[in-house]
Amino acid sequence: MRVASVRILRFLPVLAMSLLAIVPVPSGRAEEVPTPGRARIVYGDGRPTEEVAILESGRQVWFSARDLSAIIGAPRYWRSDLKRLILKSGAHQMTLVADSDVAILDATSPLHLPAPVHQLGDAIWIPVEILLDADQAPFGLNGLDGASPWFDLPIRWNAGEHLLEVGEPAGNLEAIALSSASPGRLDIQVRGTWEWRLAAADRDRVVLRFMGIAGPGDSFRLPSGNGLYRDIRTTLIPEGVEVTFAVAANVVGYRLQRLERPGRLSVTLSVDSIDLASGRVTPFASPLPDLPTMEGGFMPATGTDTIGLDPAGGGNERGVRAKGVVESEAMLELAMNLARRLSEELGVTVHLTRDADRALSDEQRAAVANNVGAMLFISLHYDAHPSPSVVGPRAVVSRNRPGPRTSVPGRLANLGFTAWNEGQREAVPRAYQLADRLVTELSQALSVPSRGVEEWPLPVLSAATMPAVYLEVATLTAPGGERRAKGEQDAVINAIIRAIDHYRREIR
Amino acid sequence: MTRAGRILRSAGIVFVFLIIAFLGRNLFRGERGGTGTGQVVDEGIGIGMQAVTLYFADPERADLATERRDLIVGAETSTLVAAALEALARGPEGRLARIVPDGTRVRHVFIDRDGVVYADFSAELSSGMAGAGLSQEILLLRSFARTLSVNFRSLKSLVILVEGRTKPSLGGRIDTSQPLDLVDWQ
Repeated sequence: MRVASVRILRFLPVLAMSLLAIVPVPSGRAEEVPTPGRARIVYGDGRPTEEVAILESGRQVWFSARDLSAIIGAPRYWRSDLKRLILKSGAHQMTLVADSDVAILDATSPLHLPAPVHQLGDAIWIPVEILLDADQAPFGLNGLDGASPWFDLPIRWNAGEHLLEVGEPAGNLEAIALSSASPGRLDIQVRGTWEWRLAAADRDRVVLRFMGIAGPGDSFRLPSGNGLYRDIRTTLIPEGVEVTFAVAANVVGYRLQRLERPGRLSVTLSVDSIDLASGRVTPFASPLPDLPTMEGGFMPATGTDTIGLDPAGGGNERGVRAKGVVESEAMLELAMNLARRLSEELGVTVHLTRDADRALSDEQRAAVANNVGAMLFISLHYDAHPSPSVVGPRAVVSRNRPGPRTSVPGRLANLGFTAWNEGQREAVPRAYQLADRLVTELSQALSVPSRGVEEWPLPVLSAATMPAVYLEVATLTAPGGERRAKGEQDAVINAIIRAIDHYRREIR
Repeated sequence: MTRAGRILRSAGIVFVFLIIAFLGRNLFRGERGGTGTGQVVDEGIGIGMQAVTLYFADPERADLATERRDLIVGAETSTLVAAALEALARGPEGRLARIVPDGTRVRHVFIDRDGVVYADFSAELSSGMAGAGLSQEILLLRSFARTLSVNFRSLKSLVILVEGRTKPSLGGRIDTSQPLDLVDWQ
């Protein structure tokens, strides 16, 4: 009898749980009906602020799925391998279905939402918390390889002011300070995310450009100069802020160092010719230092004078190897020198997809050009061919899939998304124009016949949204291929600069 | 077991091994002879012979050129497609140049009802393309596409598999994760 009682007692909790599962329990609170409101989207990259409609209920806020594209820049990141986004009205969950391990939107099981999805009229309203996870799942724009920093996009919701802050806020020029201990040193302190470029290095006018920052902060004071620095000025430019100064006639060279904590560019002038001889400073007549490249963060679009250059290969992808030349190494050197010369001679901003020996996927290469708003994109390569008769340069533009654009599935069809691999849909005619000019100039410069322009489906091109060209500057396996690769780099660079210059004038 | 017993057992194993090797050698001789001479052979391997046009690289013209080959085939299209792809992988017999990397084998060929060929190759197809230029990748895919479309009119597209899986790209430049339209790749 006692044993039977113990058994019943053991089963009591199970019995209770079963009853709870069967009997409906009132939730205690009804979902409140949300009311319409307005919010502003403030972009850290300087895009104009947008006002959008929201729904509010207590502390909970919903954004329209129609604004998703504007908020996260999704058209640039949409991939056709995302099959469906399932948002059920009234449900606290969302399901993304993708069939690729590199899909940016890569959740395949339902994601729990803190508030239900609403459907009012033909608009779908999603809880703001989905957006706040933009630097993680599910809208994590860093999903290409799980670790890439290219697509980080922090989003914050400021409930008090009804502001959705997208991207890092623009930095400020915090201070320009002359060192009292060392008269040759000037520190330009910048807060936030920034890039810099030496736009001119002349004793009468040294120009340093700080891209992606908003301007001098409130407490900013400009120093008047000293015996070495004169006429220090700051000017607001579309890309950010320009700092200019002149230097004394006895200055022999300069050194520029980017330092952190606090973030600053340190300028050191030297009047000592020993510094010059030892290479510690750069003479004013010498080539410019290496251009900065995109190393991370969300980069602003920098207008029509921005060029994306992509050196082939990197990491384990060494590319064509023939006659002692390795494509990935030679193209990196070519791209860095070309970037410097383009900046110097055409005054354009050049972004390299890589500035070191590291691997990148084709998607990442195209994404760099997309992110910086490049006006054109050139992927630099060598070719190899079984026939020694194949000699000259060749350019390839994207072969678009025939027929209409890929339709974006499901309820996102009206959000203005475009398929990731259809970036070249409208760009191919211009790409042809650029490609033709490139091979013509290279062919003349190297005195070899051009192999012309071809169309092939290359992933490195198809995701780029501006005119994009895959350029083979030489065929390594041809007789004299290594000479053209090693000995005629200047001629190649001159030809590419002429072609780009000509193309820019043509399209204006 | 006595010492004599162990010797007898070893000799027996060697004898059986020699017989298997002898039979295998004759079997492959028959297959090879049939391929090049136009004889119809039936050793349980093939049931007929068909002439196909194969496309290899022409070193003089920097393009593809043809080589005719008689292949021993089975009753199904897939066995003939497999034989044609294997012949491409073995390389040309004349003056033309090999395109498919050396050592590549055709593991399996499957054709669905929509005319999509799923051709599964050994790892050499991809590993052998390391260091290749875009031209070599284009030649390889055109060689497959043209060989299949010229000899098998009902085929529409080709899915290239390596060791049973699709590869994003064989040489790192052209997307091979999607079916290749045989007309597009002429």
